[in-house]
Amino acid sequence: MTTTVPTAAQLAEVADLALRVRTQLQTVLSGLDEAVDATLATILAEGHLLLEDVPGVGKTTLARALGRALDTTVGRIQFTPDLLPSDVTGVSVFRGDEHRFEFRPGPVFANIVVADEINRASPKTQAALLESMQERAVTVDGETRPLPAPFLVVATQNPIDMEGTYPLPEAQRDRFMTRIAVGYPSSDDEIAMLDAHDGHDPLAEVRAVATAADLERAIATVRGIYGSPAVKQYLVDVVRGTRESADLRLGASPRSSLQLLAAAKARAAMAGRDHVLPDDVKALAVPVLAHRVIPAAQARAAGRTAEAVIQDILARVAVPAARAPEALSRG
Amino acid sequence: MNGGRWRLVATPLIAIAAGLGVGGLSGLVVFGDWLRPMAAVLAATAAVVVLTRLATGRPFLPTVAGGIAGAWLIMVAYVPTLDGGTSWFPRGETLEGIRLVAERAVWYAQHTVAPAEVESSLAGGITLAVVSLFLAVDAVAVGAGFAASSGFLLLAPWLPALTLERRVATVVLAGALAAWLAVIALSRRSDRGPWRARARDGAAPAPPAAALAATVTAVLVALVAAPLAIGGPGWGAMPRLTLPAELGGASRLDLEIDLRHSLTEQSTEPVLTYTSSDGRLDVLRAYSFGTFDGTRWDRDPEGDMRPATGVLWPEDLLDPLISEPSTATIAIGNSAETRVPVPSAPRSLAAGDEWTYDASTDEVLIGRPEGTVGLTYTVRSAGDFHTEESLREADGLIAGGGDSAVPDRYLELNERIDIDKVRKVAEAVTSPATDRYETALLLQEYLRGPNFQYSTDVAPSGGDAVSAFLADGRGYCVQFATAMVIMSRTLDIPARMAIGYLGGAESDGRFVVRGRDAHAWPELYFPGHGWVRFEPTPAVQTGQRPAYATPDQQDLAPVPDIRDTTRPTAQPDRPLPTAEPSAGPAPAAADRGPSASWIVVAVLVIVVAAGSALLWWRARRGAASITDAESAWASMRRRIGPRAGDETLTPAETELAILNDGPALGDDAWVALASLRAAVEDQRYAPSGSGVAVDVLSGWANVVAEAAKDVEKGARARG
Repeated sequence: MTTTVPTAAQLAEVADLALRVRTQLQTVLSGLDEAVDATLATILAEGHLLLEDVPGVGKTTLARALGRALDTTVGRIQFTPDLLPSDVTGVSVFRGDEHRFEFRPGPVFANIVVADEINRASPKTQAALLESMQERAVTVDGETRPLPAPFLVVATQNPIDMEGTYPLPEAQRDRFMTRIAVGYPSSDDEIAMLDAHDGHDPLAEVRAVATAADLERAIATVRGIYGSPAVKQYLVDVVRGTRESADLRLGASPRSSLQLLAAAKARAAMAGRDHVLPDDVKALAVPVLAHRVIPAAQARAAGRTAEAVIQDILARVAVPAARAPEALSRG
Repeated sequence: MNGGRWRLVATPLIAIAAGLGVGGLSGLVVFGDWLRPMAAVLAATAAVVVLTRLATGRPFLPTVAGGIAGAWLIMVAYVPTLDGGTSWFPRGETLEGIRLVAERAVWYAQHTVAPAEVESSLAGGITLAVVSLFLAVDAVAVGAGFAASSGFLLLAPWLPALTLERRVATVVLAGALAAWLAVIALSRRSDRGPWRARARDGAAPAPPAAALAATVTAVLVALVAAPLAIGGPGWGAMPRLTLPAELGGASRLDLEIDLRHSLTEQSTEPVLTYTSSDGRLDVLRAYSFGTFDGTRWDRDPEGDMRPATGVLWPEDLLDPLISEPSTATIAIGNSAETRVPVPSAPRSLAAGDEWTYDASTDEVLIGRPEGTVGLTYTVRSAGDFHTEESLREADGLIAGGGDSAVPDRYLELNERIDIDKVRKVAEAVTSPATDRYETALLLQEYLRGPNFQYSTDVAPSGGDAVSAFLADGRGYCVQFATAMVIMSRTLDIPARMAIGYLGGAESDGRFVVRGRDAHAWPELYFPGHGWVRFEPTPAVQTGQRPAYATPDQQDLAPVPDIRDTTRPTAQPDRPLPTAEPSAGPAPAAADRGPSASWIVVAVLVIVVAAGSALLWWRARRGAASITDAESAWASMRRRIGPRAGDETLTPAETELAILNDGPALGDDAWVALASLRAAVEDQRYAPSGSGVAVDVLSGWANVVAEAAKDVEKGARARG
């Protein structure tokens, strides 16, 4: 996996692709610009996306619209309490005529897998999906089968305090690069939504505007985005801030630093930039970090959410000025 | 300054400060040509340090490289091979050469008297010390980043001058101090060096204000409080360091005679002791000065030498054996002169060592390498050789061209002197005189009169110190003697100045002459008599006039007051003590100490204030310190103030805050702000950095800052 410095043309291509996809998604989902941007950044940074909110705010619609806008294979799994791991990964069946087992791939064998209401399935089934997310391969009956590239899981879940759910453990949540709380639309956006649904299915109008190959190229471009020492310092300061905050029982892991930088690179590329700005880090800090930290008891009692604590940290951490690289080596 | 570039400027400044440190050896060594190779070695070493730092960027490697280069240069310059050639490369015999040079330097330092002429081995030692000092200070200030603390090292070369109470040139000291302050001002808190950088995660560095205050306090305490303490009462109670003669403690008459210098406190150490058949001697004469350039006297060149016949006085003078000669036995202590001090009108000299007599200057030269240190000799002299009558007789010889034997330099008047003015005064003073003797006497009495005061402090003057003295009326023996010499010359009387000692005070049957008895007096030429001493310096310091020059009060016309009447007359006249045969009580140190030390204090306060102002200005504005997009951005934010938000905002957020907060700035400022923001983002975060020119950057910063200021002013005017 080599990374090269992206050319202006490559950057323009990424920015253009992002714009096309965003336009398509916006026809379906009005007022979710930030969610849409974070979603795109997650795809380009090779992460997985967790959409979390109360039912009926458009989580599944966003996931499905994304699947349609990208001209890729889409697998969809509706998680239920009786769903088995093999329903996700696929199963080997015996072919009597050929006297051998044949593998029937499950819905996970797709470029985009929409996992609806993932917290309704049993932990065992959740684990099967999460393992394939991590390894980008599925092992059935001792045989490992790679998943197609690009591979993106868009999981939706209802908040954990709803009935009949198996909340994802912290270790599992850490596997998702970003979590986006969709939120209720504003009244204008809600009226626009009613108009869009008036008489026809807006999802049917979403056109495929990018191919899997386009996505692959864009992902390669994103890898080459430059993260300066100053911006890395800032990113690390923010992540360390979550570990040192008295309001958090659990801070963000080093893996989250890696994922935050990757997501920030994707956001930079979407803006046609070849380098990351602290603004990228700031914009993605909540989506990337909030689901990995656990507020302390007193913060929860005071009604402070993880998002609010991270916003506080962002308002406190200084943006470092240029650190001349030679300043340390020169005596 | 980006990165570590300030270090490349700081190192030469440190070299200058260390090099000027040889000024601390003032009074111990004679400054001369040896300074040039020293400066060259120092400059070359500094260049090696700078280049190594430029090439490697390492903190202490340049010190090592500079040390190697300096050692090699010193070896080439000062350590010859055993057969006298230049040693280009260290060899086995080089060690032996170094040992020989070191031995010679030590022997030389032990066997010469201060101030010592610096020969090659001693110059090598001093150069080694200066280069070592430079490398140490550079390592501390630039390598380690403790610019302010390096001042302690830089103080080291000044310690000899401090402990021995030698005078140092204020300019040199101020120069060294200024160079050091510049180093501090150049160094930046943000990139002070590896130790500070490592401490970054731990303890927070001191805020700039605290660092500034600490620096100023340290400088004030070390350099202002200390000179004050010297003049204060507590200092005098401390035991003084007295060095043995071998370490350069031998005294010497100060032969740098400049009328613009105030007289500093003089030594109370005995110079010589004597017994004399006539009791106290008037003076002991050592040196002649004939050439005066308006402010400075120059020694007479050596003239016709007489062999050591034992007889001193020129035989052709009138009636040389007018009375019984007196005999004085003189023992010189730790005083290293090249001329033997002799009483007035010496007739013969019995000294064990080789000596010669210079008839044109009346100086007695001694041939010993250590000069007069420890010399004991006997002089026969005709103490009351001159009388009023005999001196009046000289007029007959003057008319017959009796002055023609005198060299021209004794009538020379430098064009820097206002000759007409001095002559007018001299003519007015001497108008009643009928002969040369009376003229001399009137001049002497005019200067001893109420218009003039003895003072060790001299008013500042330009190139004509004599006119300044005649107007101001304050001075010490050198001013009085010089005035009389020059006034005499304007009246065509050959005159010169002599330097030596007053007769000292009696103690246990011997007369003791001390350093503070050093004296200068005029000598006027009387044909047939030679050079005759007069005593224009007031009695408070010098005692009585010579017997032949004591006027009969009734004979003398009243002294006309023809001085410049614009001089303030409110000057408190110090009551003159009655004339004492001794030099009179030495004024208390506190009496004359403060004014000199106050000047030093004032200079130091000004230097410190200037340095502090510089530091403050740098910390506050920094408009001139824009060297890149980052500093332009910082400067712009500082000037805009709270509107620019705090450190937690990214450049883009800062731009938004400036644009959204308060009234609009206008299109130019908007474009400039966006451009500056893009430049600082590029410099901080882009792989290629920012390529925008510095003047463009500071232009943008200016446009934004000025626009913000205008908008604020407008808002205030409306509201």
